[in-house]
Amino acid sequence: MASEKKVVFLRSSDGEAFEVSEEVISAASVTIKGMIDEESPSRADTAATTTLAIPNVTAATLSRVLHYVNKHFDAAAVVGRPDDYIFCAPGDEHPLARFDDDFVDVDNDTLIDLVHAAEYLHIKKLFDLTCKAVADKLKGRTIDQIRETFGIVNDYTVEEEVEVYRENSWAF
Amino acid sequence: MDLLPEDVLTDVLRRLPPRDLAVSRSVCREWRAIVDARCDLRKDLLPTTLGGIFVMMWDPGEDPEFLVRPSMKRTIDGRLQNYEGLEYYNRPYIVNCCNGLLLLDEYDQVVNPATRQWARLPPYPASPGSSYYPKYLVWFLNELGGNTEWILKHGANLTQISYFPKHDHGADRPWILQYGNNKETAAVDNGLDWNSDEDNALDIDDMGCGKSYFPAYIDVFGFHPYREILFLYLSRSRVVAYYFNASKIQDLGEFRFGDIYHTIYQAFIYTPCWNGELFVEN
Repeated sequence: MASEKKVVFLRSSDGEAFEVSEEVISAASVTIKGMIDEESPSRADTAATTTLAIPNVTAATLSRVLHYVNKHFDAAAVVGRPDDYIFCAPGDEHPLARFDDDFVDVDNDTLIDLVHAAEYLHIKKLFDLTCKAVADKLKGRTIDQIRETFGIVNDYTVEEEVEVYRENSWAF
Repeated sequence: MDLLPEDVLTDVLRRLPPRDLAVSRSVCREWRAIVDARCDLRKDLLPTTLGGIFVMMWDPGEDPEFLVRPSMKRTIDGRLQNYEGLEYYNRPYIVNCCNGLLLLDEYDQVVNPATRQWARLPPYPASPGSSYYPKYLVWFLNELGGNTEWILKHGANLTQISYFPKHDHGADRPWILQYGNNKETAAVDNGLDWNSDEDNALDIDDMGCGKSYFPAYIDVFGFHPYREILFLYLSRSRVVAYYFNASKIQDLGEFRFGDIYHTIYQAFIYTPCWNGELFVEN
């Protein structure tokens, strides 16, 4: 590696290592920035690259997360001001809005894995994006559809169900 | 699927509008506990209690009257003509009411009497084209990002529905006309209630629509409160639920309202409110 840019390796729970720019991942993930800061005194004067274990995230999810991170946090790749896009009006679309839409257009399990990963790695933008995507899956659904989508068992007694239904009858 | 842990679920649920949040409360005990403990489901701000009745008179000079229950007398000012900035010709003319909001005829204004706020809807979109057969367009008001604009969600050409076969299909779970002027429709009580999950809805194409010779006259009863369903009255005899996104139709039975010479003036989709406040007044 001729470049001056430092890289770190992230090792997924299933043992696969992914290379990512230290600068980019530090900007994205509070958790990993903390890990790197902890490691830094010991590696200040060594050329050895660091490998960080990410025990809670599988390779499949981690590679998706890094795809997102490289799109959003690599200053060279991001067009415009990276943090402002959430506040854009629907009309003036941020260049990454389309990317984000496609990114969360995945099956439920994958999406939930991304929520967990974003939470664990403390990547706020990704956490907001994925939580919103889960919320969108709930919108306009009936109770039964929500239970089916999220594999939830109805644990209400008949009496409780009637009561909660009455409390919220305006919504049905 | 792994269940979302509580803190994540809280983050998901707080992104939901009130109606979906209320639906989420009914999913299971854990979800209700989270909604009740962590989110702001402000029941007090939602339209769950009866405030009063707005009455429109035929006389064009008369202001709308507001028949108010005693407890709301001081909190709700029903004299719309006192509202600053509200625009109208002779008087505020109410054309519709739902979820605590009034729709006025003039300048398409929406009024919330509880907060005395009002807003003007963007101009209605022009109806594209014209056709001999009825065409129903469903427009949604998109309010994202501070902009409001009308978005065409569905353009249904009801030609096929209007050729709905008259007698071929009996409803398997017919609705019941409870207090009609005519005899009660003889419905077999088979213990099954109507549900809006499309399980017995048929594709318009499968119903043999379009094979009948005469197009039906279509009355629109209204929209389902939250599902994408339009209730229609065909040829003054048959009520159907039309799933306008799925192009499916569900027969609700055959009914005649009033006298054969009478036509329906207005129909209101009624959502019952079960809390007993109306009767408990201290």
